Amino acid sequence: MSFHDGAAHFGPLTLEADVVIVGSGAGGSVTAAVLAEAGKRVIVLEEGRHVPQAEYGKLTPSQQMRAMWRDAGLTFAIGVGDSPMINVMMGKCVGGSSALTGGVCFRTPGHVLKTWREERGLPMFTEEHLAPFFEEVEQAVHVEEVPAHLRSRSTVLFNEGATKLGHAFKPIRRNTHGCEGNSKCNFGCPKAAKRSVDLSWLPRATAKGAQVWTHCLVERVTHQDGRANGVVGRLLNGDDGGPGTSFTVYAKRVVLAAGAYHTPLLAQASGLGRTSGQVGKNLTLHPAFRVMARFDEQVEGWRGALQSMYSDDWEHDGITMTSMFLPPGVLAATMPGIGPRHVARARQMAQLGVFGGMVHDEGGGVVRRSPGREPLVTYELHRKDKAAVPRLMRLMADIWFAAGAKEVFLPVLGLGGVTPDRLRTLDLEHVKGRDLECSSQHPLGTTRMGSAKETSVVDPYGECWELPGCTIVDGSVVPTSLGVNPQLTIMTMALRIARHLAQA
Amino acid sequence: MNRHLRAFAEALFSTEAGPPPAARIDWLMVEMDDYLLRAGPAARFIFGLSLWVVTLLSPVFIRRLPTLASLDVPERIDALTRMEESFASAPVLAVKAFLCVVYYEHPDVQREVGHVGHATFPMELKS
Ligand SMILES: Cc1cc2nc3c(=O)[nH]c(=O)nc-3n(C[C@H](O)[C@H](O)[C@H](O)COP(=O)(O)OP(=O)(O)OC[C@H]3O[C@@H](n4cnc5c(N)ncnc54)[C@H](O)[C@@H]3O)c2cc1C
Repeated sequence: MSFHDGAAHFGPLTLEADVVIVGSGAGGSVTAAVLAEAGKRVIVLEEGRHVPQAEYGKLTPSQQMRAMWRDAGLTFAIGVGDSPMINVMMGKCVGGSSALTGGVCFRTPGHVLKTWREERGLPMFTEEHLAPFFEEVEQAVHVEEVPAHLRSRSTVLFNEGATKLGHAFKPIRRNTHGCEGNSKCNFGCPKAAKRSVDLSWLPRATAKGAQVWTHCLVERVTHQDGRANGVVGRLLNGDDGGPGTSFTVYAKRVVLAAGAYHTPLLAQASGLGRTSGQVGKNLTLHPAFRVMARFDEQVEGWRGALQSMYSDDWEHDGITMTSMFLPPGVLAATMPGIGPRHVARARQMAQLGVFGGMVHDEGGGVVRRSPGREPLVTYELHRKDKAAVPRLMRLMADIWFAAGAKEVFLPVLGLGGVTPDRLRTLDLEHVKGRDLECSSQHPLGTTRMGSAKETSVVDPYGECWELPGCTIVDGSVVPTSLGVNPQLTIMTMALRIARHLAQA
Repeated sequence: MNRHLRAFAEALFSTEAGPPPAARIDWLMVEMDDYLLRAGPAARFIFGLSLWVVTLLSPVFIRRLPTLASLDVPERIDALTRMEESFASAPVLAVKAFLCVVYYEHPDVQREVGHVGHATFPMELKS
């Protein structure tokens, strides 16, 4: 059997492998598959549970959040200065955040790679060098363009408004196969159409003998004679599923893939980062904002693909817009009022359209250890990024009005519905950061890759400068913010590193 | 906490005909308990603090004391509405958001709002 539940194991546990991988998300699963297929004995340790697709496909959004999202979706970065509190979402389950994505797939943009080459000292990151890795990943997770017939009415309306104003929107590519447009990608695809890593890369690993241990909280990397030789942690078999008995895994290579919030914690706990001082720093988030609109017609934006169109027309302003939709409770939560006024508004949810915009941020976040399990994360929105927010709100509101919306709901706490006349009088440029409703699904950069141990945490093949034998393959090594959704970049970087390790 | 959360929920989801059926609020309270259990200490703290502030502060907006739960439903609606529209809206919005995320998944509520998108299969979550 490939899946083992640490919560069901009694007493201490000691295992041995060629490679131990911490985290079964986008980076960890790709690495597990490549190394298992190369004949290595691989053990994957995952803090969360294994919820098979047949089960998660049947959960309601809030049930799925409780089962598969870290802290049931309530993880935050605390805004510093004039910055909002940001709800940073991530997975804690087999498949990690990959199991929660909207499936959106972008290759790393050329201008971002140029920055990596010219400013981060990574000359090897050319489009030509990465192309075969991207192709392999795209094939493995079945990246395809969302066909026009799967667009939701919400997206169609927004696109119509944009076209009237002369803006171009393009079809999105996603890792799907057989999508029926259930609009439930973030909350467990009922048809297994989304090819997240739990359904694509990880089964390849287990087919070649990799073991996946769930409910295993890794606490530290161990080392001997200056080289990583395993990990220690605790099985989540204690009271109420908390940490219980200890475990040790001895391995020739340790791979960290715990994500950009938790890999730096492990690195710090293992004594890394003293040379560069960069562990936990440089967190970028792609702060995201949604703008909703109410129409007279029934939009029923939940019919169709969750995400199907985007525009990078405003990339020079640091803005990317992507279609999206929200579960009913989140739609209702943004409706103003209490009692009959609120309920009457909520009953109009079928008339709502939703579109999202995210900021290609400069980064200003820090992940620190806290007394509890979760890190203390602070984030300061750069002045340039803050300036992009009112622009994004006005652009999206104008597009919705051009599409015929009667009122829009901006991501400003307590603002309520806004008509075209009211929009003109609103001083959005001076809304306080703390009054913005902001979320993030893309934490990156907290153990960044670079060419020198003084300024980065890992080398161009993900190996920790300070600890040979320990490699990092997740979103935390991404050297800068991307401006586009990151899963393809993370999987591609992990594939490139894993191939290198397989040959070593 | 349950009593105060219930008092908030009854007001929030009231229609002209009054609060929703008691059984629905019972269901909501059970689901909220489960949610909070899984939400982690930081989120539990923020939620608890927000509810506490709303419970004590919202009656002041209609010049009443001592707690939200001690008011009748129309008064609660009035108190919460005023607080939501005030400078102190943040805790009301936090509790409201949390309650909405769960409440609107109830099959009867989904029918009432005409939402047929996210199938509701009442399932037991394992551990
Ligand atoms: C709601 C949502 C929607 C998204 N949509 C998209 C999208 O459409 N397109 C896109 O490109 N990207 C999307 N993303 C982002 C994408 O999913 C992530 O960038 C990517 O999965 C990150 O990969 P990772 O390997 O860094 O970490 P993760 O995939 O988060 O995996 C980390 C894993 O490590 C485990 N772990 C952490 N600490 C420990 C420990 N100490 N011991 C053991 N295990 C541990 C975690 O439980 C987790 O399972 C979305 C993310 C979210 C949350």
